[in-house]
Amino acid sequence: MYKIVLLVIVFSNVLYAQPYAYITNQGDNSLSVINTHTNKVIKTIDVGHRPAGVVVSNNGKRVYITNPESKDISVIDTKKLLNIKTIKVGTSPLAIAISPDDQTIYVADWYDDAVFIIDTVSLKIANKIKVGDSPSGLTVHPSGQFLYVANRDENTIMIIQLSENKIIDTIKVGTAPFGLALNLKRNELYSANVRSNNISIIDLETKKIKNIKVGNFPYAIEVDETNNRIFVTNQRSSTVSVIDLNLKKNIHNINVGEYPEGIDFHPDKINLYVANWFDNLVSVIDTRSLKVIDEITVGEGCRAYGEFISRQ
Amino acid sequence: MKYSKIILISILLVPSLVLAHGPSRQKVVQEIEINATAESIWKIIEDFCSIQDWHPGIKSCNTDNGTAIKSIRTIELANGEKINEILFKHDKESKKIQYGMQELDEGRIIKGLPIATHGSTITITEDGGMSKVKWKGAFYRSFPGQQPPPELTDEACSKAVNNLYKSGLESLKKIAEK
Repeated sequence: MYKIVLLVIVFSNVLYAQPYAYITNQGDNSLSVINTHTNKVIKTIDVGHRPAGVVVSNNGKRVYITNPESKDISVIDTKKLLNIKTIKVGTSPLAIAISPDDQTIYVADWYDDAVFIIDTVSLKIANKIKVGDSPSGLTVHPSGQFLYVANRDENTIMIIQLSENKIIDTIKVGTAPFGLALNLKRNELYSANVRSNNISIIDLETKKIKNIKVGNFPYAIEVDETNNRIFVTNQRSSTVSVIDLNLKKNIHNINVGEYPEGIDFHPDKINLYVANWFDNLVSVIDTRSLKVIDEITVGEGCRAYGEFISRQ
Repeated sequence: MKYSKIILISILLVPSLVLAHGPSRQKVVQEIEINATAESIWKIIEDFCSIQDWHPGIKSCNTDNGTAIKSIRTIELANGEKINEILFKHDKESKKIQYGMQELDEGRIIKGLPIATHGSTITITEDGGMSKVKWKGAFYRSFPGQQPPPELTDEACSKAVNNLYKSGLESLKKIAEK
């Protein structure tokens, strides 16, 4: 009996021992690495100038950081926790996403109005797709077939078919869409619309839109498929909105630090991590109680825009 | 003929560039200790347009709806530039005022304060009769391109906002301690 309990504990530790959270600090050009098991910063790594976007590979081996002002991508080896390579990309790389097979990263360039496609083996630019005005949000469908792009300054979402790198649809949403998130269970896509203070729910079957009011300057979104909820960071309200997708309503606001930006689930799908840009703090939210249970001091001007927690 | 076409195309292209701002938001924090109660300082600043009385850099102020939430005030800087600001939060309990700049017209750069998307919070806290007033702001430079002239850089913007907050707080201290 005790043996079983012990085994379970050991097993769950193996599973969730060290998902790390990788927090970009825009003000001091660094990356804070948080061990989510202890919620302590275990290392700070120098990256490029004004880092903002981040994505962790699905296999957990690498982290890619966008540095809009040095116009490059930093490649981090997660085993050594070292910056192993810098790739020059465009004029102002910001949002970043990765293909399900980890072979390709996609980088939205704010000034070039384009998405760069980078091969993760050669670490070279393989292609470039012209998109809309000021692309700011990216997400890849887990099938690897589609890339979704939020064009902030023309209020649209573009759907790109990745087999041909072709734009197959352009959908009008709220004003200034930024963060994007997908919900496979409901076949929906969500955009946080900074200027209209709402989110758009896009039904990917019918392409119909439903807008839901949130706080001021909504920025990024995380999805809880199991509980039919989404969480939205509201920069100017210093809150995280909890949206019930069945009720299609903002049912609760969680107070976090000032200017919350990046938001991501721990792989346990219980704790949410939120980077608060103004306060240089990461808030940890328990989504069962909807309360902040921990705060972690990181670097100056943390943003963590993207999927910043390793899934294993 | 060819040249005029090029000029026309350039003019048409400019506005789409102007919409975007530099990707890095700046932040500024200024704080001052005042030998007065939080309540008495709050009295000085609570009216949304009282800034014209306590801030030496603000020549005049008008609002469309007083100190109600979402009221818009138009402040006039010493150099005559006018800026619209919206009241977001006005909390007597926590002594906090939060406001933000209304989006500027396309291409506009405010002389002396070349910033955009400015969000700002003033908070008063008290500890044993001494108060602290904290003024925090977040903003972007309004220059849309990659190479701003020296008077429009991130550093120049940050300096201008720091000066705005600092001079305001110093003046507030003088008035409150009188």
